[in-house]
Amino acid sequence: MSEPYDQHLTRRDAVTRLAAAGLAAGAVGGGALFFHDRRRAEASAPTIPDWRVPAAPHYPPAAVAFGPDPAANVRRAVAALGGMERFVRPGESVLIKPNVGWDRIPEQAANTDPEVVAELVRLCRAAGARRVVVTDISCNDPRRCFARSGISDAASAAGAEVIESHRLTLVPAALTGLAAGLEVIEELFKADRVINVPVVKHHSLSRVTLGMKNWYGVLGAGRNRLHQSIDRSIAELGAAFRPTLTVIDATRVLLRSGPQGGSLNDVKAVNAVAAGTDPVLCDAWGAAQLGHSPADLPFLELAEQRGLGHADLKAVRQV
Amino acid sequence: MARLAVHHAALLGLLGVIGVWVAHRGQVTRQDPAAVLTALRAAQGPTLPAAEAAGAAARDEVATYDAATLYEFINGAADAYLARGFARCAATVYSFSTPDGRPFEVAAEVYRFATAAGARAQLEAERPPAARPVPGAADAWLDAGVLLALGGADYLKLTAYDTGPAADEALQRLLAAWREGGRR
Amino acid sequence: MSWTRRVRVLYQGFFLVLFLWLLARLAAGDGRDFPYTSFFHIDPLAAVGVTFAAGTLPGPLIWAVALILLTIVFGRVFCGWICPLGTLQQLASWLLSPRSRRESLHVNRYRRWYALKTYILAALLAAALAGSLQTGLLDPLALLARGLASGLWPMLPGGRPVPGGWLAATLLLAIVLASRFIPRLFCRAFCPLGALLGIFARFALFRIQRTGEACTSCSLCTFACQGADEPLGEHRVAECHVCLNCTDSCKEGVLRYRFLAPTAPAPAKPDLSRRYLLGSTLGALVAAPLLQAAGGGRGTARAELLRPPGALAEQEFLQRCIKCSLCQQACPTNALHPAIAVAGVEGFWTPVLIPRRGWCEFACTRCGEVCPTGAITELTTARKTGLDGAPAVRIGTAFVDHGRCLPWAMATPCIVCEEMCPTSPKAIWLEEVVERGRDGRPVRLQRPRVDPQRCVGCGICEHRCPVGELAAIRVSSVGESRDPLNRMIAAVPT
Repeated sequence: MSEPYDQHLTRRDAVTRLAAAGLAAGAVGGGALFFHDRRRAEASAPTIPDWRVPAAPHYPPAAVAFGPDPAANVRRAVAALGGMERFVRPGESVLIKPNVGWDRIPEQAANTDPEVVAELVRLCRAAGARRVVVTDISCNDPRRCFARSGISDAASAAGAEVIESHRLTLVPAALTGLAAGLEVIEELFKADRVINVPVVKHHSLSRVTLGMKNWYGVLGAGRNRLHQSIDRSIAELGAAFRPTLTVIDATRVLLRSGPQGGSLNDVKAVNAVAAGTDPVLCDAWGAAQLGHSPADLPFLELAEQRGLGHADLKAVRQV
Repeated sequence: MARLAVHHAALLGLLGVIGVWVAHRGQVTRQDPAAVLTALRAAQGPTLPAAEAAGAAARDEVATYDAATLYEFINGAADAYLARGFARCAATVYSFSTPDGRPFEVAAEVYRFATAAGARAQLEAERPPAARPVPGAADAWLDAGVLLALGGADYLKLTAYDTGPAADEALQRLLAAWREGGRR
Repeated sequence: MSWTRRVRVLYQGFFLVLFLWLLARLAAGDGRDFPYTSFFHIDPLAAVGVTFAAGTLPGPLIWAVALILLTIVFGRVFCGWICPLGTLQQLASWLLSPRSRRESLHVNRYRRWYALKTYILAALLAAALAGSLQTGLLDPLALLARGLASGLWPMLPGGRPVPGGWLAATLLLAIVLASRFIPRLFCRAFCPLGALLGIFARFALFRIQRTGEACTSCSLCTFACQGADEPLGEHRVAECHVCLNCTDSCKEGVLRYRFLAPTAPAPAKPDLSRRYLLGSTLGALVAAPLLQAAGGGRGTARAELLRPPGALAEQEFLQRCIKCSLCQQACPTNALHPAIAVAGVEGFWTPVLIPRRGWCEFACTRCGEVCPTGAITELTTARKTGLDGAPAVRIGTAFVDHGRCLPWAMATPCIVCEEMCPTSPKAIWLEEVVERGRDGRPVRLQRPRVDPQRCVGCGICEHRCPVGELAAIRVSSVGESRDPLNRMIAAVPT
């Protein structure tokens, strides 16, 4: 048995006890009120930015250069549009979106030619870009795709920050239509300018895969449902993503068994690069390299109806 | 045995209060068929009253149209309706007769919009300036054999192929029957 | 017996009977709006646990604050006057083990390892902060509800079987029977809710006071002490259940329950070992992410994990579900069952829908109505069935097994699934063919096809399919409304 407690509670003790109890009650009550029905602030999904520069009627909507050197073709085509200075201001951050979807070497024409990508990086840096990012969400293992396509080495050497797919962060975006609810790569929201660099390939469902279809590569899980209405989804993506520049790589084109190809028999060397601000026209030109006219392609028609551009091949200036 | 103190009684009282509260909650049932019925009716689409309810002799079969088929019904005017959020409509023709036996018809159309504001906008666009409010009814206007009225997101349009007091009366009876049906 | 003790016993009996009765009424499908979830609304362990795990305190749980405030003023009155599991243990102790005075003295000693409940609390709250809510495993209210739902109700006439329910029932039984050896052992040593209330009881304004020199050390106070809080020695207010048996028993009138009673001096050896406290907290902070990454519950969707309609996405769901089993009891068709392995380690005892045992009645929203923490949001019938114009709430999609289905594989007419399909228009449509049977005679068959845009995954088709325990039409979770990534059909443009 221990001593009985001190009978007399001093006033100080009483005040301390009451204060302690009051503080505890206040803390609990305050905490409860703060947390009560507090949903974490759901940031509403942001809309995709519009990366276009103002229209300049004295430049053609698209230009194409033929020649043995892909880098030179890029320079000539972009120069015909006003030079990269028209598109990239000093200090801006640029995202270059090539097709790095497949575990293939450049000769198989499944991915964008690495020299085309590297030259675009160089041009952007020369125009004063503070940061150039090259990325894509590959279908095969991204480490192999970025390495074997040659894009990783070439772009890094030119001064770009190459981000392989598994290092990308995906965030919600306010996409509508078939792609509603899909996430996109966060890099899109960090870029001031975006250059879309597809390679010209055959595709079993949409017949060709070019610039507007290249946007599949920025979408997260769930993009494998878009094929259920592929032409419509391509047009919707073309409307959602408005790049600064579309560069169609036709150094080598894939005639059959796309979008992966494999056999060199499916590849034809066209040795051209087209660049333009009209994505519909660029895609129409790319399709023409595979022998399709614009009328053959439902997604082009849908895109034109949405006002994304004009598939008037005569407007492409050859330099 | 110690005596029953005030605090004991208070505690017992508290227990009693809790018991009463639980019992009180038991007075209400959770199921609410009325809410489901309302939702079912709303999902069914706008309705028009039966001939007898409106005091009419007969009623044609009710035709329904949705956003895709509205053109077939009202042609070019459909654009404006669609722009205001048109969803579905029901249309029919009632046969009335005047006191002296002359028959006349009333065309009845009710258009359902996505929002009450859309319905109101459509009515405002079609209401002639001379139209006067129907006495004893809210959101209803009458002018030369045409009655326009609102009910939530529904826009009612009645056109009598006759003029005169008999027609006006028929229109108002139809309106009342339509409003009554919506309340059920 | 003094009036104080009478009133306390009355309170205990009242709340035990109320708890059992409410649960029984819920399981019986009583249509009246009784407050079935009120006990959980005042449960501070659930409130704190969900707040830590989900970052929000769901609406009705704010009543738990009232209980905490009550504890700050009066001490652990919940334990002594309200908790039905505590009452059950006391009943068991009294019935199963009449003790001599000496035995009582022995079993009611405070033991240092009773601090275990505080370590358990620390571990559970740490795990909650790391995003894994496991307080429901040892929450006394959830324990009792689960044990009854899984064990007792199925045994009664008209009871519905609960597969795997023997675990929860056995746990409950073990806890109650442990009181035969040490009264209210669970409350003293294991209950995290008791530990949580004990923390606030340290501020209690009303407490037991030992006044004066008249104490003869007769130990009468300890014989009936429920909390093993040493009223004879240094009274441990954090252990005291405020049963007031001691004040009642004291013949010298030395013990009183008073406002601002002087506190006992701090015990020489602290009750809590800092080492164990840190250990249990850190252990939980490691275990929780481990369970999340490797416990098989989260990450990609699982085909057989069908959650109740209105359930939140899996991560949010696991942050709120306290495994109280009310949804399982409220479900009129016995569709919901405690998950054993299908939801991973984290999802142990969370509700899953097993269509072969029960389907989700199309217009029923009972589970969301009774969920105390909002892990299952409350739906209206119009919302759930899509009568309000927006798409109906889906918990999965049905798939026809062409190798087992009678019209597909056995040239035998059936169409029970189409008959049972509740959507309007039906999600199962019939394709007519004429086949030749084995005898060469033509047989007209209607083959069921599922329309994935209309199917809500309710499972009545699987439930009623005549093809044995592996039905010829089965629901899997793809297409469920709550997970935008668990889809197979592209979004329908509107």
